[in-house]
Order: sequence, then structure tokens, then C-alpha cells
Amino acid sequence: MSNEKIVGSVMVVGGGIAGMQAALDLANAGYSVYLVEKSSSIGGMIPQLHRTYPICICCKIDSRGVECLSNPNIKVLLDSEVIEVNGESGNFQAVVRDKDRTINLNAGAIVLSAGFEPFDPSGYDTYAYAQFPNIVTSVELEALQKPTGTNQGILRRPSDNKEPEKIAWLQCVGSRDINQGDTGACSTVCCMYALKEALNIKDARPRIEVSIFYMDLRAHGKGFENYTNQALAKGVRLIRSRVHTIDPVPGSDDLRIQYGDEHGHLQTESYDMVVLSVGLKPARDAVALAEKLGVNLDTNHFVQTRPFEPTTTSVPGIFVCGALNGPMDISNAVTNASAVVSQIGAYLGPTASPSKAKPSEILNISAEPINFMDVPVKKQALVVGGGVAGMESALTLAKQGYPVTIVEKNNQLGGHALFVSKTWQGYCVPDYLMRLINEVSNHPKIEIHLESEIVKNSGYVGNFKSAIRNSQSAITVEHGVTILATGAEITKPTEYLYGQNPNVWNWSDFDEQMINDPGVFEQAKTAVFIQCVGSRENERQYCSKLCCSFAVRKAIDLKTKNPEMNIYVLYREMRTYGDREDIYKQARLLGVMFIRYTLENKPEVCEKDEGILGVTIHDHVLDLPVIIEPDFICLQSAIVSQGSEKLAKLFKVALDKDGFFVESPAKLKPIDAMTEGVFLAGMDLSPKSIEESIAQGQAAAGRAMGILSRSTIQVGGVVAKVDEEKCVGCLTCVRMCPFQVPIVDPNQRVASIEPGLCRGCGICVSECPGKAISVVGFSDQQLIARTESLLYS
Amino acid sequence: MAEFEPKLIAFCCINCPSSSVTVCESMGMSIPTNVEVVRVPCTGRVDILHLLKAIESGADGVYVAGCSDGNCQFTDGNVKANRRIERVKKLLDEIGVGGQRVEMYRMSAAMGPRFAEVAREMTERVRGLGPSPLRR
Repeated sequence: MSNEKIVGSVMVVGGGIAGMQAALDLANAGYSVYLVEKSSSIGGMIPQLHRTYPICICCKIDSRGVECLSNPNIKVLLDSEVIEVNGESGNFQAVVRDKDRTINLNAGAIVLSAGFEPFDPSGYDTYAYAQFPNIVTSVELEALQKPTGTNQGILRRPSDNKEPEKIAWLQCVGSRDINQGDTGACSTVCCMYALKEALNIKDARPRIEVSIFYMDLRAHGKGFENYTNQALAKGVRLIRSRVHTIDPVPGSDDLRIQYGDEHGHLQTESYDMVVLSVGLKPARDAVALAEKLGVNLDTNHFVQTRPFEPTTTSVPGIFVCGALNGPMDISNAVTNASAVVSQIGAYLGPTASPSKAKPSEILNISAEPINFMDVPVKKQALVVGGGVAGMESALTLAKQGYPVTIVEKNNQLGGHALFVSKTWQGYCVPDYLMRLINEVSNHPKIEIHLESEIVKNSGYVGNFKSAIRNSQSAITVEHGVTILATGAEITKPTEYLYGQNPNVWNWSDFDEQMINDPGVFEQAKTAVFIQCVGSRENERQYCSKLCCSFAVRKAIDLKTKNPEMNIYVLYREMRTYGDREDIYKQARLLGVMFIRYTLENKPEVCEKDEGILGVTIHDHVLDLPVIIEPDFICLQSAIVSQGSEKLAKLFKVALDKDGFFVESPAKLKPIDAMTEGVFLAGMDLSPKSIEESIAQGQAAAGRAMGILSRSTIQVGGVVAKVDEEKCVGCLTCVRMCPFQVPIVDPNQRVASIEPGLCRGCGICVSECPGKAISVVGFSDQQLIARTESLLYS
Repeated sequence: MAEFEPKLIAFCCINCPSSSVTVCESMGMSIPTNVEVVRVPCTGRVDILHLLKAIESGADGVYVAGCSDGNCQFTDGNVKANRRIERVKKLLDEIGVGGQRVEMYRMSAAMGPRFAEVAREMTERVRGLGPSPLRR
């Protein structure tokens, strides 16, 4: 870094969801922010959508925008464009022009977040989009459904305003396609948004027939598989085929679709409307600016980031978040933005003047003035779990001068990454991991407790107290924030002769073997990889997400070393989402064979004489059984959470039915836990790759900074209070509270509610049979008085 | 005699349904003037007592507008509210006032006109039932 003075302000270019989140998190941590937006309003893509998946966040977008506009640390520049940037990391000078003037500003760092634009299918002659009015893009469909639109929320097709009865979605328009333009990557989000659109329409008008034509259903995220099953149960039809022709039906405005079904037979169906599920492309202006700044782009023209630094560009001081970083959904974009903030914090150092917490909307409608109490913040963090996510968050906070305590139950740091040889891009994991472990172990601000666990936790945001115990001793730490990053583990398969034949491997053991003895599998003549072992079936109805990329990566590495090797990947859906599509393509070019199987037709593994393996699989293209005799089989078994019930209870975090931690139901907070001041990162939330774990670890640090940078935190406001005279300790409130806040002291037999933890929903107040609880501003008397005054006026 | 104009109280969560009100206004749709809105932090705060008190004080109908399924910021406040409304319906049926006078509606912010629609729907329903026997 140069000797130039580092400027504590940041320029964020692009005011979509990622840019807004980055601006707000930066402002909360005390930086001054210039939020530069090209259009005349902030919000980006989301305001154009009808509903978002999976939780609708439409009601939160406006308030986020208002927060940005009213935050004293954020200067929003609308209708503005960055013309020129000079200087260097720590001291950039930018020239920004709006409609009528030019502004010069200084910034210590720059965040590129100007997002994506939907693929424009006008030039896409196969689908005749420009020719027929009833072929619309998915974005246009959102607008057609919007209650504020011309049809007032009733879906009508453009040509004749008829309410459609049959609608088809065509996936991968402008994605996974190198014939028409250079759009090789998978856009990641289209499978889920098409399902969402289809399901929403089905919910509103059950008689409408909805069909989705797709190649691979990429439902790899948390809860996606469940949503897909729900859609199928409600009658959404999924057809695996790439449609090659759309023709008009003579004498009507309907459209005829011709496609080849799974058995290779030509089928023809008519639809009232066809929706093109258009892919995500990096926004043109954003790419132009990135090029001007000298930032490297990847093969798909998204901004390239450095290995193991998911938000750092090739130019020091310039960061990237949101869909400009690669196609991603809303919650990933928000996570990405918080990760950028933590990296800027570690880069520019902490600031002196954090902004005050903003009063919430609820204060305006309370029946009495709300008082808060200022409580000092313990400027220290507790990180539970010493894997990649935990270490990244600890290091990011320590670099800003905050003391961090790491508690790890094993006898060494590293977590699951210890068994990973390479990322899907081919980056070497052991090198990175050793660097990270060294840095964390030697950092003066980080205290590490190995073979230890948390046995007690009390307090609230800004003021937690936890007891840590190992076999010899027990200590207590005070901390302002908690980050849970307890990771996940790989299950042991119970099928395919695992444990019976030495050449049947579980993928973590397989990869560990490749770290220890890189050449070990190179001489094999034939290899088989079996996907979805224990995932997406029976009790585990979720996708383990990274296994497809793992198998494809391994196949490429083996095939490169030994081009003679026959490699078969037996899969159910190939979920190489986003840029991972590139390696899927590469593997096919190298001659790796991919054979799809269904749950009804799972591969069979048998052992012949002398331990020789045989795999039988039904090939869906040939419609014949194929017999393979592999030298080894690698099983990609399911990933299960290590987030234990005990920890969940201690920190008042919920577990979902698959055992993963649940993020806050407050919308747009993908890494906040239900309890304020507790953050979640890594695989304890859901299975994910190393780079995503890094981003989440850093994002948790970014969110934590918003609390640690303040000297005091406000406690109180709209919270519940117990009248000890009336309380009989019946435990109703304990059972009813969604956040497990009330506690009944067994000696006193009286409930107490910690104001620092209470969210003020008022559920306990209404449930309390003794009427012993009231909530400030919304007591029974106040609500009844309000009702009466309205009725008598 | 002029047509009976029922007086309604709507307990409305400050999240989705309130945004729905804003959307209605931005679309130029008016909320019927016979509906008075009482905003609460979550429909989980709405007590049986509040509903009964409103009826006792002369409201012809009362309804609760909460977030859609699975969209409650407090996990299940809307579900808890729904349970209480079912209870109040029974009580009102028993005393002869009519359980039809109370209802729970769920809506998302994206269903803008839904709030105005619900207000009209409830008004029509209560109009059909006639004035509350408890009306002063």
C-alpha cells in the first residue's frame, strides 16, 4: 500500500439490492458512502418483479431504499454515471456526472455492484420472440402479473387480452448456449424463478396448465428441492427437453411447440402463451466501467475475483458484489455485499464515527413515546467453529482490531476443508488452508480454544456472556457478537457396496487420498462417479449442492492426467450452476461420459470374482442397460449439518427439518440468526462450496462490524414487560415466543423477558392467560382505546 | 331508508398488509371509508379481547389482515392470530351475534389491490348480516 492518506469513504456503483446492502452496512460501520445509480431510483431489478422466491420481500424493498436515502452517511447520486477514475487504492478520485453537473469525489475504495441485465432474445430467431406478441420474457411476465400494472394483477396475454389457460416456460434462453451468442454460463436463478412464476399462477388460478421445458433442474439451494416437490404436487409439469421450434397455430394467436421427448419422439403441443426464461448477463455499463478501471473479467464477462477472495477484483481497492460477480440470487447478492463491506473494513481500518441505529417504522404508530436505554457494546467477538467460514470471519474482524475468541471442538483448525484437494476451478485448497490457519493462529487478537465447547450463553446483542469448557478447565468470555460456523459433515454411504469393497470410496476419503498421494488413481482404466448418494431421497429431501462440481472437477483432473481413462459420471440432475457450467462443458469435450439415472432406476453395483466391480445402469438415450467394470467407484454422499440442537438452544437459533440452522425470518437477512447479534456462516446453514463459505464468513464479519463499531447499543423500545404481581409462572409465554426469549426462574416462579432480546411482536402478551405481560405502545388498554375512539368518532 | 353502512375495524400488521395499503393508494384505489385501521406490530398481538371489545363497542364487523403463509417476520404470529379468530367466531355464534362478523385475511405486499378488495368483500358480507345487535 502507498503512503498516501487512506480516505474513509467508499464509492458504491450500482443501487440494486447488493449496492444498497453494501451502502447500508458500510454506513452502519461508520464509513461515508457515495451510492452512484444510473437510473432515477434505487432498488435495481427487484421492484420490477411481482413476487420473489422463496419469501416475498416486496414489502421490504421500499423501506431499504428509504433507509439509504435517509442515512446521513450515505449520499445517493441518482441519474449518475462514473466518467473517470484516477488515483489508486486508498485514494481514488472519481468524476461522476448526473443530468446537469459534474461531481468530483474522493474514495478509499470502490465497490462495483451495477448488476446484470436480462438477456434480450430479440435477435434469437429460433424462438421468434420479436414476431409473436404472446411470446414474452420472464421479466415481462412479472410485469404482466403486477397488481400495479395495466391489468391490475390479472394475467392476460398481450395479443387479445385473453386470460391464458395454458402457459409454457422455456428455460436456458441466453444461458448454457454457445450457438446463439457467447452465453455459456448457467444463469443459476432461472429454474427457481420459473418454478416460482408457475406456482404463483397455479395458486391464483388452479385451472391454468403450466409446463416448464428444461434441461437440468438446478434446484441446488437451501429449500429449493422442497419447493420443487411442492410445485410438482400442485400440478406444475416439468418436461425435460430443449424446444427447437415455436410456430403460430393458424387462425389463432396460440403457439405450437415442437420438442423431442426423453425417448427421442417428436411431440407437438399448443399453448396460449410462451414465457422465455431469460438468463442474466452482466450489465453493459458496468462491464464498460470495469474495463475502464482495468479490472479483469472472466470468460463469461462477469468481473473476475481472486482465488479464495470471492469479492476482491484484480485491482487493489476495487471490490465487486452482486450479480456483476457472476449470476446469483438475491440472498447470495446480499451476502456478497456484506462480505465486501468486511473486506473494505479490514482494508481501510475501523472508523471513528459510526452512525446511530435508525428508528424503525413501528415507532410512528406506537400509542406512547418509546424510550431506549444506551448500553455499552463489548467490542469482542465469539466464533464457534474453526473451519473456513469461522476462520475467515475471525480473521476479518481481528484485522480491524477486534479481539476474537474461536472455539473449535476438534483438536485442529480447518474443518471439512482439510479433506478437500481442489476447488471446482482447480485452485489448490491445502495451500490456502495452511496460509489461513497460520495467519489465524499467529494473529495477536485471536484466541483459539481447541477441543472445547460452549456450555452456557446469556445476555443479548452487544453484551453476550458465554462459558467455554474443555477437559481441563472452564472460562467465561464476554462478547458483543456471536458467529456460528459449525460446519457440516459427509455421511457414510449405506449402499453401492461401500465398506465391503476397498475400491468403493466415499468422496471425502477419495479426495483426502488425492491430497496424500496425488497419483494414486491415475493408472485406472475405468472410473465411475455416482451422484446423489443419500441426497434428494427418503429423509434427506435436499440437494448437497457441491457434489456435481466435485465429480466434474475430479473427472477433468483424471482425464487430463490419463486421457485413456474411461470416466462415467452417473447423475440425476447435473447441477453445475453459474460458471461451473464451463467445467461441465470442458469435461464433455474431454470425453467424460455422463449417464443420467432416475430414482426408480438407480445404478446397481455388484462384486464379481476376485473383488472386481460391476456397475449396471440404464442409459436413457440408448434405452438399454449399460454394464461398466470400473477400477474404482467414488460415491458423492449427502452432506449433513453439524449444527447441534444443544447449540441451537443455547444461542436461540432454530434448526430446520434437515438439521441446518435457520436464518432470520426478517426478510433480506440471509446470514443473521433469529436472535440479534448472532450470525450464521458456512455449511451449518446449508451445503456449499469453499468460496461460498468464505463469502459467508466474511459477510458475517461485515454484519458484526455494524454492532462492534458502535460504542453503545440501544436496548428497549417496543418490548414486552412482565408484571411480576400478576405472573404465576405458567410457562405459556415460554412456549409461545418464536424467539425463546422468556425465562421462568424455578425458584421465584415468575417469568422474565430480557429487553435486549425481545423483538416486540406481542405474541406473548396476547397469549398470557394472567394478562401479566404488556408491550410498550401496544398494551390492551391502548389498543382498545384506539378502537373505541375510531368507532365513536 | 338509506342503505345500511356497516362500521368495520381492521387490525392490520405493519408489514405486508400495510405495504398493501400503500400499493392500493399508489394505484389510486381508495379504501372504503367505513373501514378503520388499527395497526399492530404483528397480528400475533391481536387478542381475543380486542376483537370482542371492538364488537362490544359497536363495530358491525372486525377483521385481521396478516402476512401470507410462511411470511411472518415473527415466524407464526399470523397462525396464532388465526386460531384466536376461530375461537371468537365460535363465541359470537354462541351468543347470537354471529361468527361471520369476524374474519382473518392473509395477504402479501405484492397483492396490492387485495387490501381494498378485502375491505369491500367484508363490507358486503357485513352489510348482508345487517347492523350488529350490540350497536349503540
